[in-house]
Amino acid sequence: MSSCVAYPPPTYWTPEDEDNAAPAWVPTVVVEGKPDKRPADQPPPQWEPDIKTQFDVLAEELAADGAGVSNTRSLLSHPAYLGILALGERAIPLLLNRLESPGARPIWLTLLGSLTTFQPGAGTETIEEAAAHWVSWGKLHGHSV
Amino acid sequence: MITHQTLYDRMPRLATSEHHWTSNPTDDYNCVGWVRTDLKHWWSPWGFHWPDHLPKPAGSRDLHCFVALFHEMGYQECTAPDYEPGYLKIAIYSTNDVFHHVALQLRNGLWSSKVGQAHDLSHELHALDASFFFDYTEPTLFMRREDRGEPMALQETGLLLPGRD
Repeated sequence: MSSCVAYPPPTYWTPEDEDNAAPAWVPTVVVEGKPDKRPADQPPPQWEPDIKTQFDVLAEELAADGAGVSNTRSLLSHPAYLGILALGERAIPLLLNRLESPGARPIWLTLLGSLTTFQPGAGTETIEEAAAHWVSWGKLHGHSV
Repeated sequence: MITHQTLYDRMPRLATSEHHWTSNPTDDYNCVGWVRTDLKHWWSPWGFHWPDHLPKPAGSRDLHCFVALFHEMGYQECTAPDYEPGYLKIAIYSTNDVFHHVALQLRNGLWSSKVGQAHDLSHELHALDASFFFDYTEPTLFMRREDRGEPMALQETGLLLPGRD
């Protein structure tokens, strides 16, 4: 005959538990159109990731793994590519900043194409021209870092 | 900065086979530009430099776009990668009709590539085993055209490096 041990029921964190800090695994969810109830002078909760740090880690990984990739379209399934896509519009100024120096510009352009409705090459002839075009577009639309 | 080690780490066969670096890294042009001796354009039908009259991708498949481009350059499909006097060959790497890379055969039997946003180099045919992340290790299609005897100094000795490292 087997014996049973009664454990206390597990407790789960819910967004309604305002008195309790959220555990680290709770993702940040920003719902468009919903006002952020946090007072302006209150820093973001500790568990909200630092976007730039997160982006930099992903971008370095993607640039290294994609260094030998001739068709940047092949990178669409790379975990770091998907990670940057998940940052959404917040990644745009950081990508534009990366366009300022050569190295992996076709990758950043491809990501910008994925995050917007525009062509990565922006209808220009060269990578240099495309990068300049995107940076100008970013300044016009308030995406500058 | 892309280093040789960056590529060795991701293409282990390259590190242990004969190869010669022929340029510094640049993201101005890709392997297709290299095969066309065009160092100004990043050739891709995915929103980069691509002539309007050439095919566009069908869904996620784009191999046919590149094959059409190579046809226009005079290349026709062939079966073997071996060097044939009187012909210049290219080797195309792809998976599931998705284009990954193209390398150009040199008259000494080695192959010349611009690898992504990295360097130009000459290498053995099977050295570009990008199996680290991408599921391609071998060329899937060979094409050839008549060798008109044009100079290949750019691919053979490099444009940017005065000496090899």
